[in-house]
Amino acid sequence: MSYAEYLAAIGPEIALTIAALLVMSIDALWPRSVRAIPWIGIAGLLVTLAMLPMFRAERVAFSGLLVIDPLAVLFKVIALISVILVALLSISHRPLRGFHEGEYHTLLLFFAVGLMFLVGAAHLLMIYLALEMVSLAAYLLTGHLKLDPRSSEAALKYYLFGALCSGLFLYGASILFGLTGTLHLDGIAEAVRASGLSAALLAALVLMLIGLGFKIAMVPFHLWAPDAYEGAPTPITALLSVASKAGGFAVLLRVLAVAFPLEALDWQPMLWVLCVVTMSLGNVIAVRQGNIKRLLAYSSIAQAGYVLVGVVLMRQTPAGLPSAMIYLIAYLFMNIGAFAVVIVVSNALGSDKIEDYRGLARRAPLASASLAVFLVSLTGIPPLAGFIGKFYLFAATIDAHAYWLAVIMGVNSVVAAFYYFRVVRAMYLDAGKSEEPIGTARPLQVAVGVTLLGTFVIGVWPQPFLLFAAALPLGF
Amino acid sequence: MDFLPALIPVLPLLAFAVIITNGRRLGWSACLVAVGASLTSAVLAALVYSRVLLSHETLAWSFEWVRWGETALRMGVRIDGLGALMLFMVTVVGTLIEIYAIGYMAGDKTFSRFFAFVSLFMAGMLGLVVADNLLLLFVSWEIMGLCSYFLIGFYFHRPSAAAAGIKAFITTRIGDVGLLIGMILLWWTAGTLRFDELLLAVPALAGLGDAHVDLMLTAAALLIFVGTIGKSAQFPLHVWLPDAMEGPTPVSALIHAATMVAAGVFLVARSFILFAQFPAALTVVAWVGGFTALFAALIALTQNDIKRVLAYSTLSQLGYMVMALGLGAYAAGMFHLITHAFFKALLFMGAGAVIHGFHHVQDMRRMGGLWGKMPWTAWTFLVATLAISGIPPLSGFWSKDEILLGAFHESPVLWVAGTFTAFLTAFYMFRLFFMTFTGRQRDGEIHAHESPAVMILPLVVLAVGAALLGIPGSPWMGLWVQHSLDVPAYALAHHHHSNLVMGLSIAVAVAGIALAWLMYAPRPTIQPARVARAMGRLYTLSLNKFHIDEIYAALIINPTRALARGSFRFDLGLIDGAVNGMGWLQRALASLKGLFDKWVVDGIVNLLATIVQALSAVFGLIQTGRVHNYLLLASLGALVIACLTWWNMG
Repeated sequence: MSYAEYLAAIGPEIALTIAALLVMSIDALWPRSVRAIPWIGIAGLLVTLAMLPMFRAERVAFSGLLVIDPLAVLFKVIALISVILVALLSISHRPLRGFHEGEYHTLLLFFAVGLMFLVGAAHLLMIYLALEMVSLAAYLLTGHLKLDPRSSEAALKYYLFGALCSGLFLYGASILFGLTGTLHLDGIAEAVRASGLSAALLAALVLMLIGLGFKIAMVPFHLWAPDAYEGAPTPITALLSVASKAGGFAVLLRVLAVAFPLEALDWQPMLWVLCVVTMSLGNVIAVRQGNIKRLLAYSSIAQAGYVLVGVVLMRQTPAGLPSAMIYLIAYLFMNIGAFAVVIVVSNALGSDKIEDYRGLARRAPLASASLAVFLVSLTGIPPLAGFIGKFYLFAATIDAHAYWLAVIMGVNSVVAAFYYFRVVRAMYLDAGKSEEPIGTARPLQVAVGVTLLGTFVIGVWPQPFLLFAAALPLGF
Repeated sequence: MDFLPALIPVLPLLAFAVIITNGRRLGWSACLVAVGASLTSAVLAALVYSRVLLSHETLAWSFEWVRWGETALRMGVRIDGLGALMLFMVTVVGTLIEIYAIGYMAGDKTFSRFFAFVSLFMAGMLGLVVADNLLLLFVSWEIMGLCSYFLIGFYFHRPSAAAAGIKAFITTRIGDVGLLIGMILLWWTAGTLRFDELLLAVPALAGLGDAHVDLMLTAAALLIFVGTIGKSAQFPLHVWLPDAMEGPTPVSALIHAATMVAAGVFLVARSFILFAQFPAALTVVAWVGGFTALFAALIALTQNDIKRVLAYSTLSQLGYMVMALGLGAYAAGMFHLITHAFFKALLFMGAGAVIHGFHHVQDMRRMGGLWGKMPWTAWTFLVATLAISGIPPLSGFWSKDEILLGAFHESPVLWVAGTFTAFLTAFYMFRLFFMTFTGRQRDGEIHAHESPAVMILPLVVLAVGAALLGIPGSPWMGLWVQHSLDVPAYALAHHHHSNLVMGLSIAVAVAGIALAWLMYAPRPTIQPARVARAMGRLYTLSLNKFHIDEIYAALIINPTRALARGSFRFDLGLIDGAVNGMGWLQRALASLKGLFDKWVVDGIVNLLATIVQALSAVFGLIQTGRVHNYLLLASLGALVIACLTWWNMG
């Protein structure tokens, strides 16, 4: 394969890079066009999304650094949709308005580029580079509101934690290289199969798991998340909780499925424990949160735990991987939707406290109804997307005879219902201090509309999404 | 192209979404959104109709909705001749009524809300028509039920309107439950709810000769028919429809005359294969329809509220359609459904124009002499009245004659009842007409005026339809409409033309009109009061609607209330009695039980909540906010994981 053919394989990534450079240049050359910048970025993202179907033919590019396979394409779609929605949220988020918007949207686009490389990376060096690209953009975006001390503090904590984890990941990767003599994931798998289990192999896995666990905010590597989520600009909170997490899951899936064959190293019990701890701890701590962003931070830790159920079971039942994917797609819509409404409220009230959500239903009936829908969906109640996701996860646990996992997931759902409904109760049943109506900016209306539509459509007609999610052979 | 029919219900649904979310901003222009959507649907429906007519093929489009392992559930649309004709009728009549409502509802504070619900209703009705399976049909059916409830109780500040809304909701609910159980039985027995699969599955199952299967399918047919009885207001669930006249008149015209109530009839036609295989079910259908036709006509004779007369006439005409289906005169019944939609919508809208111009008075005894003041309304109303009375060559004559022809060949008793009903229909409709439009105005204080052009235009269009639509279905054109329905072979009962039936039906119509003229003309030859006195008990029975409402109150509503009260008292008395009778022992036991509840039952619940809260607090402590603690914890966590895994693997 020639180099030109390699370049042709990554057409969407190149297009998005051009868009990012374009946004950066426009910002530098015509500072007065700042209002158009987010829309140029969104247009670039949409074009990239539209290009994906043409670039989905399976192939290996750049001598095995990158692969284009169904898993990569699926995650690229998830990543692009979530970044588009986050860009829409950013336009109307009051603290961001007029504050280095060009820089912000450039970073957002480079974040998306990094994510697209990350989900297709099949080589440890490539994985590391893409991981760093995504992380660096994410640190900067978290601390974008540099005049707000909470934003800066969040970025610093996130960065320090991230630095440790990425260092440990690199350490694990180098051990693996030492053991196997290759950085290609499939090459590693062959060598590992030949050599079998050793303490060094286990150390490599655990160290790499830390790096990836950090990305998906898996307990006990989640500690940065609540602080970073609370301090970051709210659209970036949505980005970290969805897009960044999706990227982490893509790499986790690929590394576990391709590089670590079960016969050499049975990682399932370890991941089982981590999955149970992640969902339980996330849900339990969420119960006492008084800040909606913190509540959603802990809830998203728990949600990652649910997705891990599908990952744990991916070798035991063919339903495992698709169920994790369908849950991730559902989570994309309901979680970003919830953050969109949080932005509507914080724009009007300047507060993220749940007590300020009292009586919201009378002030912003549509926004309240939408938030209620998203929270009900996160709880997993039909006919919404979250129910379909949970339904398939439960089906996978039953199929794999993992009954304990099913029971623990069930108990967790009950605990989760408790804190989600606390917000719904505040909005609908408690009396507020004010009756003044709250308006919603147009881009936020679009974002809420799209996420609401996604939440309902997946709930009512899941079949196309199931087909989409089921197209994942991934090294079987 | 094949999914085109699927768009038809989606357009009004979008209109509903737009209006309900932007009602305040849209204001008056809400009606433009609604009319625009249904007009586009009408154009699409015309396209679909012409395509189906020309090719005689069935348009079908469906997709896999959800799959559990091997079982796939498909959703989609299916348009045959019957569906295309219904689509055409619903969109045309619906659009005209919406245009009319622009004038009728003008100035109403809830103008946009009205158009939002009418659009949602249209979406439901069209969804029901295009549905290719009973499940989608049921969902649309329920959407219509909900809209009907909202629109009947549209003036909810009026207690009678609120009560009528609740009455309609609860009464039709009985039918809906029947339909749902019928669907479940059908799914259980035949394994599908898709109409094209049922067409094959039901005859195959019936061919087995298994008594159990036959019983199940007959039960399913009858339960589905219970849904029809509810929605199409057949005896004994007819009581909600007259009360539904509390809604705004365009709603009465659209929902309670032309379209929604016809959905019940359409349901029987759609699932006719079930009925055709089991004659027992068919007989029930025929007799319920025939009885309702006669029964409602008898009540209509004596009512004085202009909308109520029309409401009972709707019941009676729906009875005709149901009877036709029951007699196997499938095409005739559906033909009557279409012609009835036009002339009944016209009658209601004419009545609405009268009420509108008469300052919201509905009592015919105060009207009279409106001919001169409302010429357009009067002329179009006359056309509709002649049509419903069955005067040739207007539309109602041809379709009614077809039904009576079917009855003549299948069941002489029902034929006699139907012909007598035709006589009564001509009589009470012209009674209404003469009382309203001829003579002198009896209540001189009201200054009636003609309606604005936006209300007159739909009347004229409908009048043309009511006059001419019968022609394509007449023997002159070889029953073209009936043949265009693609009547399935199993429903093809061919009846020879009979001059006796036709002559008699014209004769009774003329006789009915003549009698009405004698009694209600400006200078009556027969005094109605004397006739009423001569009829005695019969007159009061009809005036009081055969006391059905009172019978229901006495037999069902009051006993239910009494039962509720009694149960409450029983509860109260039992506890009191137990406490008093058993003395301190009981009290001690009760307090013991209380302790148990408090410490064990509540305790467990509270304990769990407390544990979660406490855990939450404890684990919350991890989040110190100090990043070096985090790093330490994460590293420790990694170590623990590694050790545990190593230990686990031995």
